[in-house]
Amino acid sequence: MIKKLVLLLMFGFIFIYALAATVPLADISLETSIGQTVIDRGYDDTASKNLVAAILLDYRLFDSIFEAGILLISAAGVLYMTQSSEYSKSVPRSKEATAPKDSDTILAVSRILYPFMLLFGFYIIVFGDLSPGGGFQGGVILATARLISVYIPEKASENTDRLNRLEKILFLSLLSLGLVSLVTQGAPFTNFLPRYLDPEIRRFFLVLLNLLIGLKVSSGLTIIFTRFVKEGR
Amino acid sequence: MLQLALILLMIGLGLYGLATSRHLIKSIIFLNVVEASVILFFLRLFYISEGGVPILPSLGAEPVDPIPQALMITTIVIGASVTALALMMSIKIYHQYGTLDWKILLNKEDNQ
Amino acid sequence: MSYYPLFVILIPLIFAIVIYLINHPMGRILALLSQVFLLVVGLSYHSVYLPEGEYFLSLGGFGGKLSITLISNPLTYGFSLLSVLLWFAIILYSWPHQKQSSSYYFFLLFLQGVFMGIVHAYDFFNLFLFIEIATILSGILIIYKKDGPSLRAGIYYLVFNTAGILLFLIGLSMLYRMTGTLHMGLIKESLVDVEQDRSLIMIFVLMCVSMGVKSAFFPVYNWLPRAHSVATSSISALLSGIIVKSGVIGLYKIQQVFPMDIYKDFFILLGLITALCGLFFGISQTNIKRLLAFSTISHIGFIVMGLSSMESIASPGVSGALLHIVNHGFLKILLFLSAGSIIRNYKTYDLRKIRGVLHRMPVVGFMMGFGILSLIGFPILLGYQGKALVGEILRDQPLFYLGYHLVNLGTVILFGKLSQIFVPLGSRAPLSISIYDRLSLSVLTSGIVLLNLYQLIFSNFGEVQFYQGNFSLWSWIYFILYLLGAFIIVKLLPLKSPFFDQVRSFELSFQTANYMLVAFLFLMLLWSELPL
Repeated sequence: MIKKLVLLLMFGFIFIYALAATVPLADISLETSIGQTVIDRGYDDTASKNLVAAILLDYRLFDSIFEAGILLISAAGVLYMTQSSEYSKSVPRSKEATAPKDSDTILAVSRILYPFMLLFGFYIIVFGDLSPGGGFQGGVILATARLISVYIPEKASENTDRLNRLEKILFLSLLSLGLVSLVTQGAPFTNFLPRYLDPEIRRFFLVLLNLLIGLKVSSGLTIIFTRFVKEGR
Repeated sequence: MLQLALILLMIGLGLYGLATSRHLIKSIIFLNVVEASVILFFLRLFYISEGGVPILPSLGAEPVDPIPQALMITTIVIGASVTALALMMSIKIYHQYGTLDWKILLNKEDNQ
Repeated sequence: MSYYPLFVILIPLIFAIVIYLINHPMGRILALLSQVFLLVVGLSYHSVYLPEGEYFLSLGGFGGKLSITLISNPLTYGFSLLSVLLWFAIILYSWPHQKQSSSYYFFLLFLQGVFMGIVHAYDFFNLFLFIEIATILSGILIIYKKDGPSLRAGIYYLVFNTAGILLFLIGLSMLYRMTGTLHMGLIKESLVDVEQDRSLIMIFVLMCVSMGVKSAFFPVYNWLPRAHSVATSSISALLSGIIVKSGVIGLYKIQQVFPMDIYKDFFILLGLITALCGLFFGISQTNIKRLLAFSTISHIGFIVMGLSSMESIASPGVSGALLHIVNHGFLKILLFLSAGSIIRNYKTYDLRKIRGVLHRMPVVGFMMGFGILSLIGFPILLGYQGKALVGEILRDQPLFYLGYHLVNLGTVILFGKLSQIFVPLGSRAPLSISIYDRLSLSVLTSGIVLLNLYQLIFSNFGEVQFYQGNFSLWSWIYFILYLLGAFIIVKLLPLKSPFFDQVRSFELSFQTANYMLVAFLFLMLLWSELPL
């Protein structure tokens, strides 16, 4: 009890201190921040109308590639942990796993939703540089679509090994795509198309990158989901 | 000011939960609470009243700083990865020890 | 060619993915090859920074302010070259044990790339990202055995460290709001004449606390002995020698960007308490790997004491700390690997059951003895350099200087306890040691000897100054005094008493560890309000 009281007292002190520290920050002008620079010249630099995508896919591409790498590591970790208890791939699903399929409503809705979710996911990915969205967000939607496909009995279950290989190849190609600009532009991790080209052409790089990231994220998340579903059985 | 205070309280709540909850899954949930509130905190710091989305053309409204939003996507991905790994570890731990209670778990003797 | 810093990060990464992709026993050959390749690239690395002493590589063609920047200077050069040697030794060491597992080499080499990233990072968010990836990778490597204890330690490590690193993000958001950039150099410039108000203190404290969690400072140290004692020996060596230092390197970068004078004494005190705490718990241990893990905590304490001066690299404190990061890394990896070899042959973790190592495993025993002698601070050997330099800055403060000697004395006692495995008792039949163990230990030892000679002959590496008084009379007198004091204390100390049994089994629960995290944050904030 005393322990909790002391904890609360410490929290009180930290809270007041943090409030006193953060409130004055609101008065600091935003004019000099790099965010403002991105707003001013983001479109000219990167050909992306979505400035968040401009940062993710060009200014800070290095970070984004490692961010995709985290997902690869995490999927690899989950795969590694479940390896020993891996069931042979041809074994049909056990009784409990098929339980949700008994509901006709879920089955029907999943069947209807599946193509639309795929479409929506690809839309989010491909238009990531024009509207809200991008590779990461679209990839999650694609993965969700695949997750829903678990409920469709005719569809074969995901082969995680193949997905894993796909993910590795995608990550490698992401890295190499980032390095192409080293040859063409003399600077690594930026758009490999020259700056003087029309933004509509330079967009190609962004769409390609978004597509790769989207597929990578979706395969990574699908591996994780599938493994969780298998492990839970 | 009020929003900032509430977000700070949420961070505190998450840390309090980490410092008191005995269940492993609850710890992971509270970790996610901390993470979500940190993301909120970051975005709230750059809030402009009646600001626009950072997508061109900005239609008259002054766009908000896009940097925090880009950074926060990274944080969300990190959070998702850590959560996935931690949950898978807890499944494995449950298979091994039959419990997810930190206290019982950490006091279990293994003869190394 | 000025892209060496980038290549140093990317080469192990690409090799890691290729090894994972082909998924073949050939992978380990590729892993070794990657280190050779890295060495070849690394040898010409210094051409990057030589003209000015420092070189900044901005990724993307938009100038330093907008893009991510990597720094390269003698320090990063040294770290890159030395890490090649360490990873080479560890890959050799795990050669016979990890035949089929391409994922092992994937995680290992990815970790190397990320470590290089931490060393080269010159952008706060990039630093955060790399440290977080290192945390996730270490978490996976800790559970690599997939048995109960390692899973338990792994989740403890992962959740606690992630909670700690999130505090860094809060500090980062405030820092970005304040300065409008994430580039360390620009932040440093813009903070030069800013008043050190509560906001700045809060940022500093949050960042330092999260780095403290990462590198096991006093109240938040408990994950380290847990995690480092259950992993496989090669992983323990890597985590304890190098990866735990990533937090200290982060702390060094933070302190270089905005030094806070009011926290100087705090860091000395913190380092002292961390060191004493590590020694106190370490001396009571009987598990050889736990003892080594606690000794890592005490050496982290040393490094923090050195960093406390928050001055430029050339000052003795910071030089000593950076030297000790490297020297301790090498020596601790040597000790962990030889301990792993001993454990495998004797089939026990218990110090009290291992006897006669020098007779039964002469090569390993000799190298381990050499490592121990270096770490306790034999004046002309490697471990002494950093310690002596840290001692220099504490000389003016009698109380802290006394604590410093106490820590040195404790280190001697701790490793004196470890040395009981050399006592010839029982069977003397030589045990067979695998050729890979010998090879990797020899690589490591020769690296240590070379490093030692380098530090004795030259006076500096880049801006890092070496200690010059290795042959002075006082260093020897102090060393002999430590030995005598340790001998007397061991005779007086009732090591078999029930009190030490309690200390040995003392563990913080997960909740208490988080409680300590909050308490650490509270104490650091409170320090700034104290009228000192």
